[in-house]
Amino acid sequence: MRRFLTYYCLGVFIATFVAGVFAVVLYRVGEIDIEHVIRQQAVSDNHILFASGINHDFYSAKLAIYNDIHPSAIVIGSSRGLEFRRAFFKTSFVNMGGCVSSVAHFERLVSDIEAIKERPKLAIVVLDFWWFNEHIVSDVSDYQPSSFPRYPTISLCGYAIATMASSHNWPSAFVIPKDRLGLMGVLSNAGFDRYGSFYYVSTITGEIHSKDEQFKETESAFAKGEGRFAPGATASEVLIDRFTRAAFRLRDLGVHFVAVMPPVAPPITNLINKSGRYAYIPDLRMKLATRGIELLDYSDAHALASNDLCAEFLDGFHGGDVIYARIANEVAKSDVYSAAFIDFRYLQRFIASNSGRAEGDNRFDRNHTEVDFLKLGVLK
Amino acid sequence: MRFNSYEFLFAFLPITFAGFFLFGKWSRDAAAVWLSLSSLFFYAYGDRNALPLLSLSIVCNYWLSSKLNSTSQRTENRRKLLIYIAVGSNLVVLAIFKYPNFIIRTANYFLSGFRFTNLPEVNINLPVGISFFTFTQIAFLVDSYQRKVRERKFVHYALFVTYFPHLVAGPILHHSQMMPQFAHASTYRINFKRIALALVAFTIGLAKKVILADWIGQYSDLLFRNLSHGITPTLLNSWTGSLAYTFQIYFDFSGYSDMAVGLSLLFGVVLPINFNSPYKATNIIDFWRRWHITLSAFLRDYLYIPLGGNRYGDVRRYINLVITMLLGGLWHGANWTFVLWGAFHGALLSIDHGWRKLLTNSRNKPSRMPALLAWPITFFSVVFSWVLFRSGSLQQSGAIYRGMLGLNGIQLPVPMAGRFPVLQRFQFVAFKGIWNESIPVGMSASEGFLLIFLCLAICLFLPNTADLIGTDIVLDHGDSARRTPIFRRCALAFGLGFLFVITLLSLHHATRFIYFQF
Repeated sequence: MRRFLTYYCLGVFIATFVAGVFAVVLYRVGEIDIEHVIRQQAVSDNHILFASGINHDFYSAKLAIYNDIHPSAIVIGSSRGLEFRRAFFKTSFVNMGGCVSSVAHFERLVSDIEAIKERPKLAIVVLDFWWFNEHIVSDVSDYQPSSFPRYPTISLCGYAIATMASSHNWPSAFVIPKDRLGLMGVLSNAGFDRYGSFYYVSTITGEIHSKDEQFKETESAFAKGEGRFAPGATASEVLIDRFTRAAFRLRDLGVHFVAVMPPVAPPITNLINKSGRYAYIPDLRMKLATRGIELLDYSDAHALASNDLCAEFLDGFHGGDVIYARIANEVAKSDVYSAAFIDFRYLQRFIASNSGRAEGDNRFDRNHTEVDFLKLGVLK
Repeated sequence: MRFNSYEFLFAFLPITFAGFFLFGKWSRDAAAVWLSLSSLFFYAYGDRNALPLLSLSIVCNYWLSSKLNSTSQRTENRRKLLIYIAVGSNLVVLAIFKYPNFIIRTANYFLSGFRFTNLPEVNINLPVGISFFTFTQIAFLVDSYQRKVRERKFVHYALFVTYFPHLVAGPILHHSQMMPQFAHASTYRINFKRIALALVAFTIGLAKKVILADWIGQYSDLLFRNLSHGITPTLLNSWTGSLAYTFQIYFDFSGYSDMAVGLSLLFGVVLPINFNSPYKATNIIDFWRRWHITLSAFLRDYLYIPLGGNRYGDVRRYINLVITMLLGGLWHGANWTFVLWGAFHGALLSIDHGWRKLLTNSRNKPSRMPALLAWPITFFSVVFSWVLFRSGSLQQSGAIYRGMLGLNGIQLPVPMAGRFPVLQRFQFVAFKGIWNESIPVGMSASEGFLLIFLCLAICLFLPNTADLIGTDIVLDHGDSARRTPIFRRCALAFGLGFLFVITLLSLHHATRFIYFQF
């Protein structure tokens, strides 16, 4: 039996050693301990991009950034809010985009903000119309965010191996560049800056092939009526009520909120308008208005500029930072309170010098320049 | 405190283990007191408010058992009265904590037609493990009354009831299995053979819970969570969810029992095996001989046999079976779903006994049902019954049964519409994804199916924990483990050590054991 115990301990020892190696690699690459990542980003003076290849639930990471900065202005939303930049604002700012992709997420975030003493003064809430489609059932449940890991777990190790195996660039995970953190940041050259904004460096510079050239993939999803493009006649009363309650709770906490609806790419807008299957979108606007929520509606990109803005999109769903600079500009014009937080002059210069590009803020581009990654036949 | 928590594994267990054997060198009673106090701490860590109830229950029941054990003949009538009071008071305490809202809800339901105002439900926290420590003590009282109790030292009695490996979720122990071991000197000396067996049982149990039960449990939780949000279950997700729960509850509860056996062996105490590959059963009688064996034994010895068992003819036997299982169902939880679950199993047992009788009596003896037919009948009967066990209400069960029978239609993955256009002709087929797009990130329908097949294969083709640690352990303190070739033994030891670390790395999302609620 002593032999049995010896071999058992040997198994424990070797497994612990392997786990230890994983722990060191994952810690160094930034997949464990988000506070460590935030500290490194802060020390680098916003010169490190971070994107986890394992933890796709950004919620706890964003909350950690919020708790580190205690911003005066925040942006709340899904991945479609991620292109608001720190430089757009005169005050301290955190982009909480990517952690709210349904009404349930929004309710949860409002509760978390309620529990924090230092609350923002301004919240720009970026709404996606499909949150309110009564046929999308994933939004009915309460949301429990997953926490950012503090130590290696078996699933973390498994996901890390899977992420590295799926990338041709996997050896770079062991030679971490100074300006990238997180497996996705290292492997695919994209990620969040210190303030939570996302930079699609590898996409816009053509390092990786865009899946949505000429918006074909989004058009295909639209044709199938899948997921976010599920048709609907009316907006869900239940979800609108839940959203309204949460938004008013935010207001009661002393946070001025502005609800905006960002655009999808113009060809997609045309498809939506022509199909006649999305009556729930105008219904949503009307129902929000009757509940006292003014929606700044830029779902049609023509509301932002008269020229064709296709080249300013990252794909069919996501506008780039130039689009969001335009939105911030319009918000400042429409909402007097917000104007005090938004750097109007900077936005004017930024839009003028970057019109026709997807990402004007190119500080992380490593000497590459933006290309016509959507194959739209435009000069960048 | 949970077995699958870091505070248990790295603080409570090492301290308790070291203290027990250090005290054991000095005094056996001191070691027993230490283990008993540690067990009370273990209990109070999770539910401090229930500690006075547990302590009072131990003291009162011990005092009552002393009175019942009296040898004086002239007090026979008093003893009879006393056993009724003793058992009755235990059941009343159990009822007060476990069943008031069940009674109130039922009363409200039946009185709603008579314009009565609904009675408000009461807010009572169910003390963890109350069903288990009540049953073990009732057995002690009954055996004291029947003068079957030999060992009755208070320290050993207190340790028998509070002993942390079984306190909150069983196995349901019998004093005659446990208290003599506490009196045995060898229990208080470190035994490496038992420690090795303990590591085998504990590691397998932990892996069953943390890796298999918690993983597959996500798919059953998804079905029931969707249901509580008003989403109608359809054919494939009803079956996925029900089968997922079938394996979740097995790996969860048998994992807990394995861990309990392993932990107890660390302290030199042998616990009875509670599971013996129940999903290999080819009839329902066999199933109940393999599933929650200690509960089956308790119900048989203290309910079925006192009710008359099979001594008064077949009809009475079937009635007794249904009553026993119905009460067994009610013991699990205060809900009509549990009552129906018990009644369903009682009916299945009666049918099985009836079938056996038919086989025995028939002149033209029908041939025995082949295992290939008997196994699926047994297995899917059990799967059907778990729907009742897991559902929060009869309406939920009904919705899932309708889904399982295909009455709510079939939902298939979206790409299948293109691949099998003929299916689009059928009204009852929709292409919205098997889980109606409600499946969270990180889960997939195909993973759910694969997990179900993996769990089924493990249940049917791998040896169970009892096989691995040697069934001899149950009979003679486990000192005669099976002889296996050295290479296999070393490979097993190494693999289990490795598995132990893997399970430790998965503890961050470990959930409560299902049987903690009972």
